[in-house]
Amino acid sequence: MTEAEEATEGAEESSATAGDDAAGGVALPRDWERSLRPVRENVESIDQPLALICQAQRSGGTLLARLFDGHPQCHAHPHELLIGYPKSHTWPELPMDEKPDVWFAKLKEGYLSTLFKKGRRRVPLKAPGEKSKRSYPFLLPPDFQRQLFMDEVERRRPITSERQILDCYMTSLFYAWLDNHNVHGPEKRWVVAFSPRRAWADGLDRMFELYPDGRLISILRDPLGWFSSAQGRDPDADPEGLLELWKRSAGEMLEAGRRFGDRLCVIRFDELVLDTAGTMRRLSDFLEIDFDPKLTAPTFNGFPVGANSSYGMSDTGVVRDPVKRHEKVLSDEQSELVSRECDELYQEALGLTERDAAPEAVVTVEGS
Amino acid sequence: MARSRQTKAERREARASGPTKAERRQARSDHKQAAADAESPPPAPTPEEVVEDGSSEDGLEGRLARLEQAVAGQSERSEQLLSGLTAAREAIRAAERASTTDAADALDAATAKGVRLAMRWRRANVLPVDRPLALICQAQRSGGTLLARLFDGHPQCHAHPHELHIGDKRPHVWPELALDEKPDRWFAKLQEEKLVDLFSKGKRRIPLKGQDVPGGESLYPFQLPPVLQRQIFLDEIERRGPITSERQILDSYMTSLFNGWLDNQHLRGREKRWVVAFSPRRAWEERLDKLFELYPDGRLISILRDPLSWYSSAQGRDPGADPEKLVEHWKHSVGEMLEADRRFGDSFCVVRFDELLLDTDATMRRLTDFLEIDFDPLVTVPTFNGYPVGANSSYEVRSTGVVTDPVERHKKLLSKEQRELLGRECDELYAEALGLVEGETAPAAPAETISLATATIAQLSTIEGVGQMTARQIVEFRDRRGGIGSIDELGQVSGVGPGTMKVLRARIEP
Repeated sequence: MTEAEEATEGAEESSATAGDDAAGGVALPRDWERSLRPVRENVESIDQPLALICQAQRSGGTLLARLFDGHPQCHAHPHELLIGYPKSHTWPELPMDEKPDVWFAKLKEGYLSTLFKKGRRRVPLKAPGEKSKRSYPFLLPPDFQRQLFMDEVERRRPITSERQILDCYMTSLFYAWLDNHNVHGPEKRWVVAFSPRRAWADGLDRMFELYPDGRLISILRDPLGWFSSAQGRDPDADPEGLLELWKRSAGEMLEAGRRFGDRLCVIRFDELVLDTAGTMRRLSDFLEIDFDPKLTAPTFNGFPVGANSSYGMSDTGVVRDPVKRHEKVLSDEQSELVSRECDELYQEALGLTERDAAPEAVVTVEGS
Repeated sequence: MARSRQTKAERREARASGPTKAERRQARSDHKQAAADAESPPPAPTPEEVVEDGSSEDGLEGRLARLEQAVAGQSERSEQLLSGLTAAREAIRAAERASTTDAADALDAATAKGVRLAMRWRRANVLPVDRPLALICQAQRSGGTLLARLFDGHPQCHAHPHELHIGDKRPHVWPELALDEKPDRWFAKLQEEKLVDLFSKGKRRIPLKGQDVPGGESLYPFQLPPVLQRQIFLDEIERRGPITSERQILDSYMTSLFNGWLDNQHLRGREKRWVVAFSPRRAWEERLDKLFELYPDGRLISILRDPLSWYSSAQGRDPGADPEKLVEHWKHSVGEMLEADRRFGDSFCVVRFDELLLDTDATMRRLTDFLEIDFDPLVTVPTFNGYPVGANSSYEVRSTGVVTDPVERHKKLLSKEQRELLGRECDELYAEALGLVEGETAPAAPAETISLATATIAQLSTIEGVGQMTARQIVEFRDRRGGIGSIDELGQVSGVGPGTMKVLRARIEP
């Protein structure tokens, strides 16, 4: 986190406390800990497979993850999936002879602890240094999550696979998230999470080794739109380095298509933004879940969410500006460079999206 | 201004030799906490200490129940007893207020801080609740708890988590909310002690059972910190000011209830049309006028239970009750329905208890039509905040979902004399009240059944509550198995939950 972001957060915390009453704001009830016991007693194991959204950053992964928030058949991760050791975007090795405490230490998502300490998840996310417009409560006490993880490991003993450990972690995550608005209800089919680069190179095999019943979803963003967004997020970035990252992402999609085509679905960023309902219908077919109007409006735990844009955004919901923004932002030279480097690969990758059924016509959605 | 006279280098030096940013932040936090501690009242006694004093929460609760019962039955002593009741409630409120002010020591500092901040962000992101009330009201033992739990989870309803107990003297009487009173006083009149009690116990106990049936309950989480609810109420009053009507105060209360309930699964999502709540007797006599004075856009729903089955249930709950008083109570309830229909017929709907149990789907369709909301299969399965729920029965009930035994149970339980008494006393009134139900639009004729053996995806998709994907999975499941012997097997199909099963049972045959 940058210093500017920290400063912004400090200011937000101050403003959150400004309206507190003379007793120091909302004090904790004495009965808080006691109220957690029935949560522990009513945990239902989460063993649904992972539907992983994975590609390079700046491709709409955050938006897509937030569109799944609230779908009655999905547990939607509250942030990016950052389980991993030694890096947060790599699958951890979880030997069976290690202690549960070590497993949890490898899986625990430090960023969620940070969010909890601040008591909120800030959305829509903005460019570095830019003040966020909305902050929403986020109540996931790390100690309680650890307790639920230990409970679940104990309940499932003997643990014979890494998948079981991951399932214990997901169980602890969604149940310790105390204000999770979508933990109950109709049977869940998937845990949906976004984690850029996690299923690249060795991570792809590892993904389907851990989740043979899992699904991979990738968003293909056109190189001009992607380049302008990536450069907007990091104006000093080396253009060639950025283009290599886009090419790597498209190449990984082609590789996943060759090797795990029946479990991969590639969607186009522009279609996701311009025809959200049609694209989400295709994804709900792919995941074999019912289409729900909630899939067309991005939310965080039910709260309205805007775009995770590199540019200032004041709207919530799916915003369409990013699709054409590069026309104003990129110079002729930049556009030529990007096209020269990426067009051929882009055309090849587009084939991945065309082999799926075309999105249905846009439908009017009520009351989402 | 002194800072402006320092050079950048001096400021850097001062920062380097002084406390770090984190230390300064901690110091500020400590200072705030110390100030708060200094202003806080002394710590409240722990629950264990209260028990040692002989005034446990259960004791107070029991005292309340006894007092309330006595008030209902002995009018000559009512003033005196009401006074005692008020005093007991004040005692509980005082204990609760004290217990919520200094409990951070129960948690480690980091967790306490996170929870406090999350509550503040909750306050900063309140969804105002100003929907009218759809009140379920009749005598107890008529299925009100079941009906309230059937609305739990409907995407267009805020469903109250328990019985609606707002009221400053008795929990089923509307409070008088004078506009010149202070907001804290309004909250004291509205706050539902039962919800405070549920949170302090950390659970909602469901299914509720007969008083003499031990065990078998499900204990579900219930996270509604009273102090957070109060704060949201005060925030909301401030936001809506100036307050010019009692309805605004009630809306502020409902806002505080549904937003302060941290693990509420249904706060957001689709736009809500109603607050749905059950409160027996709340719309009787002058309270009927008060309901529609407070909520001119509100609705009243009553459940008419046949006298034989109602009597056997009421006697099962209280075997020592005077039979004549029970009969009078049933007659009072039915008389109130007839009165409500005469005066507020357009805003009033009566459903039959037996139809609610035996044909939940059709009865709930009628009610969703009445409330002008979409039918959703979720309304055919009782739940509490998404958890499965059984019956609030006077007799032992083992299963969850809608149980149909109560409809016929009286045949085994009532004597010939009891039947004759009830027939003599109640039959005429019952027949008249049935007219209220028959006057409504009859439930839609059952749709044509579909044969599971030959059903296509398109056919199954026509069933309300069954999406195309679920329909496809059912067909694939059937084809993989080479046919299905029992509809129950569809419970194994991914995505088919209890609500969908109920709909499927009604529309398909093996």
